[in-house]
Amino acid sequence: MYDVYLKDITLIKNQRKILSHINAHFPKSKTSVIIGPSGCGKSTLLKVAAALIPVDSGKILVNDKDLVKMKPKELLEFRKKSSFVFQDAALWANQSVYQNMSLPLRLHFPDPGSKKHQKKIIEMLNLVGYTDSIHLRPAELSNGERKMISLGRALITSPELLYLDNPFVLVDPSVAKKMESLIMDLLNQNKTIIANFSSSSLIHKIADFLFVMKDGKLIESGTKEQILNSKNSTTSSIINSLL
Amino acid sequence: MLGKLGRWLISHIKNLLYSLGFFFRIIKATIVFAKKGQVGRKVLTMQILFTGVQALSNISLIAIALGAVIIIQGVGILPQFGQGDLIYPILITIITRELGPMLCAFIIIARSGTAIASEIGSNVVNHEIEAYISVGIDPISYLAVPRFIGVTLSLLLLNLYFNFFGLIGSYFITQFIHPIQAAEYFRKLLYNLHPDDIISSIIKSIVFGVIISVVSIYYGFKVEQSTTEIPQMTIKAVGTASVLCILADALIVLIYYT
Repeated sequence: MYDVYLKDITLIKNQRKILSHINAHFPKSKTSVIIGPSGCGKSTLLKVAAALIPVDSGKILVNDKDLVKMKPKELLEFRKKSSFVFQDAALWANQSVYQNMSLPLRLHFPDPGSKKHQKKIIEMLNLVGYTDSIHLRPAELSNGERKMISLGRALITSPELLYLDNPFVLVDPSVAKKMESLIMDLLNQNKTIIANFSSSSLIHKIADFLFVMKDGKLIESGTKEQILNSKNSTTSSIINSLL
Repeated sequence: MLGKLGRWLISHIKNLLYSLGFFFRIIKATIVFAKKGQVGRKVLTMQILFTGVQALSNISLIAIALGAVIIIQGVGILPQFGQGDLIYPILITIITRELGPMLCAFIIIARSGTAIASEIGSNVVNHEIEAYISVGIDPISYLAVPRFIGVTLSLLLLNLYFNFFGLIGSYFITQFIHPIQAAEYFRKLLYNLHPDDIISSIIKSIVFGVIISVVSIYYGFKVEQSTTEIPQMTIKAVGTASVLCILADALIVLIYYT
């Protein structure tokens, strides 16, 4: 199980502070949700917490180990046990649905026969409700299908730590419902989830901890109850805008 | 004024150091890839197929046509000055030493350099690079190294094809216009072909392959957020790779023949 600490994270891009001195603790086996107005840096913070983009200063500690300074072997082990679901699916365009699912498996669980992989991929595609050809490319899929495949790709290695970057954006209600039920299932599996959602119902259902952001700064953080009842005016206005 | 010049100089030195660092990172990752690059082998195969095999018809046609033009022109003009045999060193100088590697390089820049820069650029814009990192795949090892090896190897092989078709294939075309005895042609050709010519041609194609692949990959990764950056970076990749290939050619000629 992983817990993630962000210590004094600052990220500057084109002389603009995208993230400013962020300190946050995402506890293990809990669901932490980052909330805030559009463009406040939620997705960026999530990507920083997963060490997908470099920062100008600060540390990302995973189980007290600096993610940036990890040895390649340790980092690979972390990647094996963590997954990221992107806002825009980010499927590999030049690979088929099957290849998108098999690449993480081939990397982390080398199996020359690939029979086991094939079985696991089919199971995962069934789980996410994908019924079309496994040989299609992402460009041939609908947005909802891409999102579901992306979630399937993230779950195929059975990660202990899951980053969810607003996967419900631009999906129709039926796909959103399916995704929601899959995420609810994950909660029963004791996984650490760090998410960025704008759906208030989902925040109410799954969040254990909330992190309120505005203009690249972390305004407040705490348990869901603490934040929902916060006296801080900025927090209250952000919460009200979500509801 | 002085301040502006200083800032310009500093930013260019920074860029140069960054590019060198990028180059050495690719070299380092190539060594690791050779030992355990299972995941990227398919990318390497596809790159060789696209750069080396699919360009073969273009290369062959150009080489045959160029070789035929040189022979026809040479055979028509040189005997008038009593220098008919000069056609062979001219053919070797142009095809083997100079135009073989250089024309192959330009064809590869146009076909593969642009494809690499724009593909990696679109990978960046669509967050595919971040997706690779998130599953534990180093984009340099998976995307850059197979392209680096594939382009370099393909350019070397295409140069050999170019020489084959330029020196041998063109002879057969010439027979329809200006017949030369085969035994005489090949004997004199081999007599004038020195190991130095072959080595210089091989060195050039390897150097050009390294330049084209690294420059195209570098500019692909320079794309940051917007799709409009992709054609801009692709154009920069073409321009930089072409200039660097010509400069490298001049440098190799200078080192080789002085």
